[in-house]
This record gives sequence, C-alpha cells and structure tokens, in this order.
Amino acid sequence: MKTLFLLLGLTLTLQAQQPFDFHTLDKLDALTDHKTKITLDPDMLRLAARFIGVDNDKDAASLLSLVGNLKGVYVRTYEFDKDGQYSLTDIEPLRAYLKQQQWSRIVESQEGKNIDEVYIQPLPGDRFGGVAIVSAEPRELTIVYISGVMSMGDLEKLEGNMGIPDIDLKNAKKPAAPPAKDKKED
Amino acid sequence: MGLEFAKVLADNQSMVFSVALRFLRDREGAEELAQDVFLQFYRQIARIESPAHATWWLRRAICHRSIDEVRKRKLRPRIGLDDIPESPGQDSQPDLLLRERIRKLVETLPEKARMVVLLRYQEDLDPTEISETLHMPISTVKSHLHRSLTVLRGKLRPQEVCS
Amino acid sequence: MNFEDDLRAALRREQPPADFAARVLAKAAQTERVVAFPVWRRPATWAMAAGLAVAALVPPAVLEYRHREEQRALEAKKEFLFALQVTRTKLQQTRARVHRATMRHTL
Repeated sequence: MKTLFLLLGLTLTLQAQQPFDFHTLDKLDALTDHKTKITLDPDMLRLAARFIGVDNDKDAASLLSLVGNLKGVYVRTYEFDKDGQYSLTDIEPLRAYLKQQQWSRIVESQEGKNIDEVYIQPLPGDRFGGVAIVSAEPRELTIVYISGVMSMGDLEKLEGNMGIPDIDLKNAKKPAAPPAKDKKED
Repeated sequence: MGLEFAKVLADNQSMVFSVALRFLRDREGAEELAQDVFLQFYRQIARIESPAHATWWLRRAICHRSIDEVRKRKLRPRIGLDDIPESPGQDSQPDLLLRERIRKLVETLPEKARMVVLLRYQEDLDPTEISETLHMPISTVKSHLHRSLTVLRGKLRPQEVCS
Repeated sequence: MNFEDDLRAALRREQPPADFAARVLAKAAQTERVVAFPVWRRPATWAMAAGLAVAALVPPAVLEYRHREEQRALEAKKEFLFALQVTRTKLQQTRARVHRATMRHTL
C-alpha cells in the first residue's frame, strides 16, 4: 500500500512538473504569416537581465526584481486575414494544461466576439507562480504565459501603475496542495 | 551631368526632412541632418543614374544617418513600465489629438522598428522595398511591423482604435 | 478609418522650412574638393592602426564570442520588454472590457 501511495505521489509530482508543450499550438502557425513568438527560458532571462539598466532604462530596479524571479516568458500572437480562420479548440491544449496544473481562471470575459481569460497559479500569501492570458478576437489571438513567482505588486506594475486592480486576485481559489516549484516549460 | 541637383533637392526635400524629423523628434536636428545628407548626395551625384536612383539613394542615406544619429544622442526613450502619457480628455478635438498621440507613440518605438513603421506608413514602401532600404531581411521587416502595430494599438485607448 | 489609416494620417510628410532648399544650394556651391592627403596623414589610417594593435592583444575568437554573447543578451532584453508590453496591453484591455461589462449590468 505504501509503495502504491509513493508511486501515485511520484506520478502526480511528475505530472505537476510536466512543462506545457507550446508545440501543441504550432498548428496555428500554418494558418497565418503574421505571427510573433517569444520564448524566453531561464537562460535567456538571465541574459536579458544583464542589460536591464545599462541604457538607463526606466523602472530598471522593478524590471530586474521581476526578471530575477521568472522561470519562463512565452508570448504567441497571431493575426489573421479573415474571421473564422482559427478556432478556440486550437488553444484547448493550453486550457487543459492550466486546469490540470490547478491554475485559477480569475477573469473570463466576453464582449461581442472578443474573449479574454486571465489565469494565475496561486501560492500561499499574496503571491502566485505564474500568470497566463488568452485574448481571442475574430482576427487576432494572443497568448501570454509567464512562469515564476510574482506578487500582486508585480502584476499591478505589469498592468501599469493604476492603483488597486479590479481583477480580484486576493479571492482566487487556492489549490489543496502547493504546486511543484521546479517547472521547465517548452 | 544628367541630374540637376536643384531638381533632386526640390523633389525629395520633404521626404528626407520628414524621415529625419519623425526619427530625431527635433526640428533643428532634422534640418541639419537633412542638409548633410543632401550635401553628401551632391558629392556623389556623378554616380547617380536617374531620379528614381536619387530618391532611393537619399532615402537609404537618411534612414541610416537618422538611426546613427539617434544612437549617438541616445535619444531612444527608455522603455519602462509606465511610459505613455494619459489619453486626452473627451471634449478635445479627437482627430488632431489622436494623430499627435500616434506620432508620440511611434517615437517611442525602438529605432529599427520606428524606421520600418515610418517607411511603411509615411513613405508607403512595401516590405520588400523596406528590406532593401534598411538591409534587413523581409521576415524581420514584417516582424517589426507586426509587433509595432500590436504595441501601438495596445497603447491607445480601446475607443481610439477603430480596428 | 482603420488604425493603419490613422497611422498614415499621423505620419504624413512635413515640409521643411521655406528657405531650406536655398540654404542647401548655397552650401553645395561652397563645397570644395577634398584635398588629397598622403595615406600616412589620414586620420582613418591612424584609427585603423590603433584598432589592429588592440585586436592583436586579444584573440579574435574571444572578441567574436563576447560580441555574439552581447548581441544575444541585447536581443533577449528586447524580447523580454516586448513581452511585458504585450502583457500590459492585454491586461489593460481585459480590465477595460470587464469594466464595460460591469457598467452595462449595473445600468
């Protein structure tokens, strides 16, 4: 019985550590020539940090503090020539992954044909282990996935210094067990 | 000499000056740079084959000189997390202020992206022509255009963006 | 008008000052032929000699490596900042849409 529990625990841990495979979104690549892909793993983020502040960047201290805690930054934007060229099922692998990893969907908004979703991975206290944004419009799809420990203050800064955000992060549902800390994405 | 310098100057001064102005954001600096480029052209005029060649030469020269000048002056706005002024109030003349805001937003783009946007939307060049002017792969030109439009659209208030 | 039309309108060419062409023509008329200097007197020659001296002290492969790493780091920084800009844009957009939806429900 003990062995069974150990195996189960190991399986769950391994699943929790499984990175999101951004290649599952590659089918979107074939649908348009107008796309932007940014993939910054920990090594690339460390490289980026070397030059923050060198050109007297504004908010250099905040940027350095943010980048120091991040494990990965991934952005995919696609622009299409006409409506209906992509389907929301194309991003189902990401939604399924976030659900499996117990991320909380804290915003789900639909305005006409525009759909916005914001997910966070809650951690104890006011911190979270990542933020994901899906913005789906008839001719534009944007996915942002940032992995790494952040605070509400960091999210406010990301959004722009607009005071207390309307997005209610404090009441996001926390999972029963803390998520795995070391996640390698993509 | 096949080409008349005064005619080339008259036909291209607006293009050369405008590119410099939008890039340097400084009227006096733009005049000086534009003048320099024309004088540089004057010294090379024997090698220019046609009016179209002259325009091509001047456009390339002003683009590269503008980028160099900005790098020298370190005029590129520092990218920070709070970098764009607030949108204007609702009772101001929307079109004029919108254009002014768009101009200011374009000025905050990184140098190469800014130049690509200028060549596309001020000079109406297609990506192939932009690629030849700036010695930049076409895919990079398209990427700059795509990203810049994303950033510019995003920084305007939703109701300011018509599409 | 769509956004690209707005962009074209905003970036319409501006005319230089009325006397710009006259000033350029006057300067061009004053342009003198460059006097040929012997090679050894040209500043560019000295600059090249200094550059070669520096290069001789540091192995080329090291310089090349450092330069490549620096380029990679600068690129990474640009990508990171762009990613933050996209994130910010989308968060603000979402907030605006949620706000509008809330207003519609309360009216």
